[in-house]
Amino acid sequence: MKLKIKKEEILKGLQRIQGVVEKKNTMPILSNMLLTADSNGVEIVATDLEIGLRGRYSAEVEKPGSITISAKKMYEIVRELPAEDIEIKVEDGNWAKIVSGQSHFKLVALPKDEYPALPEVAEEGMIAIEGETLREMIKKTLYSVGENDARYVLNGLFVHMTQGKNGLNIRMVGTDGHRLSMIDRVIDAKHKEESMIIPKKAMLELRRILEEDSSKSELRIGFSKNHALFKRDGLVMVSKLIDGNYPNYLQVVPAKSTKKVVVSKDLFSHAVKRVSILSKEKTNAVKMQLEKDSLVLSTNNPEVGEASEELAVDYKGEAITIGFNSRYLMDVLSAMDRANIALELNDALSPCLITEEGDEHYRCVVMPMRV
Amino acid sequence: MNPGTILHIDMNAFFASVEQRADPTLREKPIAVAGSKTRGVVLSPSYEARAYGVKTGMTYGEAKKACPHIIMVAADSAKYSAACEQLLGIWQEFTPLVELFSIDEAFLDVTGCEALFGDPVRMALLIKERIWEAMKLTCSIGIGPNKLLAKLGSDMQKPDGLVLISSADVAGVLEDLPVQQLCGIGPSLTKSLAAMGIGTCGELARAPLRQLTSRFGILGERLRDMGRGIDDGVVTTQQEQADEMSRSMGHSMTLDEDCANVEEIERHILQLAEKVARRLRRGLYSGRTVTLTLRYADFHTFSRQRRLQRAVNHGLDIHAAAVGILHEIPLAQAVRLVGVSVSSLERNVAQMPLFPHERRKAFVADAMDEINDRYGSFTVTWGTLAERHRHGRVISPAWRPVGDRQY
Repeated sequence: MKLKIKKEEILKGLQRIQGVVEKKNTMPILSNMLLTADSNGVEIVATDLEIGLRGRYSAEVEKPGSITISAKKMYEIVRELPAEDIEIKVEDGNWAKIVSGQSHFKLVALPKDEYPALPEVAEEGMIAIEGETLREMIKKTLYSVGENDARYVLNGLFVHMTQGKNGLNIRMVGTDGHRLSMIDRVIDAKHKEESMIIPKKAMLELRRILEEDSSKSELRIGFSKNHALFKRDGLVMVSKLIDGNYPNYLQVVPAKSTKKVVVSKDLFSHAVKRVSILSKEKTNAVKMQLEKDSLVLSTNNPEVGEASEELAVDYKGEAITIGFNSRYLMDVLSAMDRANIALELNDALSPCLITEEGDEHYRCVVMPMRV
Repeated sequence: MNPGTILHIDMNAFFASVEQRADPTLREKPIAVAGSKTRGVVLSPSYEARAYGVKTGMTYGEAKKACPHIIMVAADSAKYSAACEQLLGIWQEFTPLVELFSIDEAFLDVTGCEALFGDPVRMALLIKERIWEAMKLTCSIGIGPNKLLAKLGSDMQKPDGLVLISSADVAGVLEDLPVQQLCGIGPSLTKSLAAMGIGTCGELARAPLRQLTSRFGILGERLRDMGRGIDDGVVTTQQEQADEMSRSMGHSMTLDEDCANVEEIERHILQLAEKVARRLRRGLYSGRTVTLTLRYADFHTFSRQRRLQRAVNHGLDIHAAAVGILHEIPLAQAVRLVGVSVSSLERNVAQMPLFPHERRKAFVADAMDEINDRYGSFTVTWGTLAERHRHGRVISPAWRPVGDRQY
């Protein structure tokens, strides 16, 4: 194998796979990437057996071939190389030689036959979706997905597609058992009703790819029984699905509320941030008192001090005092884009619904704390 | 820094003396307080029984053999905790810096109290007098520049002792003292030290530090200091201990009968799990690591841990984890003691779960706690445990009159 590639081009590919390759070193080959050179350029593949990423990059290939080398070392090397042009050579299959300017590197290689193949997912019936729509949906739900939860289905994002009159409705739901977020978007596509749970890590990587060039480029999505497939010009991501039943999330989204208040998102989030400086460590508890035309946020930490801030609001309902984990509130607020948000409450022991004014298709639920 | 003055007060045959005080017919007789009248180990023999060779930790059979006319008394934890509270009150008349080391032992930091009560020996005599006057109990008091030496002093003269080890005496007292006399050096350390040719504190003090650290790691330096009578441990009050407690919470119990029946052991685990869970909730804690401790009939004792995916404070969750551990252990013998503890504690229970079935579980636990707080432990409990709560339990050595240890 012998090829020449621009630093910028290969760096893009190496950056993309850093999040995918296995860091725990359970199977050494999974910390490697598979580099293949053919007449169309270079292909870089990485997988942790749960997610696989395959990208194509332009290069001048003199002699085709393939090799697997450490993804992390290769990235570190390329990042630091002085010159624009990089030459990669494999002579006897055990070593990859990387030359750029006066720098020479030799990286240990593993036989390419040992590299696990990415699962094949049939491409018929794929749906096209705007990259920006998908990015927004992931951003607005992924923060609430669980992490290492024993209820393993919560460690993934729930995706539910239903065909409506105006198009295909895609719903994404995330919850960690303390808060939940749920977004619906209608796209111009046709697909049978289907739902799946996609691992958090896959969605994180997908979001990173979508944020890469903020282009409005289209993405195609497809599903098989056990896998999800995401395709964009020259880039393929495959992810295993989480097998299991997602909990009945609709039961925790308050259908109606007795109290509702609208506040400026900025004023509210700055106030939460300020008073939470003095909330008790670990609990992050913030107390919210809502009464006639006033919303007071306060914290009280006997060891450090106390804080409070009042916001003038238009509220005529019954007074209520309720506690929240300020981090959960901040997560919701930073996922929202509009100027005003609405808080809907029933009582201090029931879930609180937070929505953005003007978008009834994005709903966040936060369970209160006892204060 | 000037050396401080620490007193160590050790109540003499505490449980037995409390029983003898409560029941005049037991006075001046060999009695032994045990888990129950016919079972469990001897927790506290009276001095009359000790004369026959009855020792703490003996089984009922052994005690009976040593002293055939011994009177066994079932432990009554309420009595001892009340006595302990009264003692704490007396000690706090002398200094606020009182550390309850166990239910019948305490360290008092009386540094700087000389102006009020005179020199330490006079102070110790005053304390003994106060305790005798108020409670008709005797104690041994050790006075030393630190906790290690104070504790050593109180062990040197029993019953009703008073020993002062001043900084000047330290080397002389320790030179020929067997290492196991020091608090903190147990049988296995003694054995390891003996294997290195170290039998006395004098030898320990002179041992090359390198030899000690290569064998015991960071403990090596501490061991050599102990051999030299150096101890920088401070007297920590209960509030301070409560903060320290955040590391783990647990309960254990000696079974009425040695038990090889796994289902039966699971029931004991549930009972302990419920107690631990209640204490966790009281302190607003939940924990991620569950530890199961078992003691076999031959006293071989061991622990196994399980790390959970999320912090728990519900009895059933703790029970499930501990039972999971139990099922992984091939039981080699009948079990005489079971312990359950929870560590890796987090203070986060105020956050309520979103899903209704989990919320219900939390609310049920709250309601049970409220009822049990008002009407006594285990007034409301699981059906599995309904039969188990007729008789009182042996008081835990870690019991404290205030704080979350009460439960």
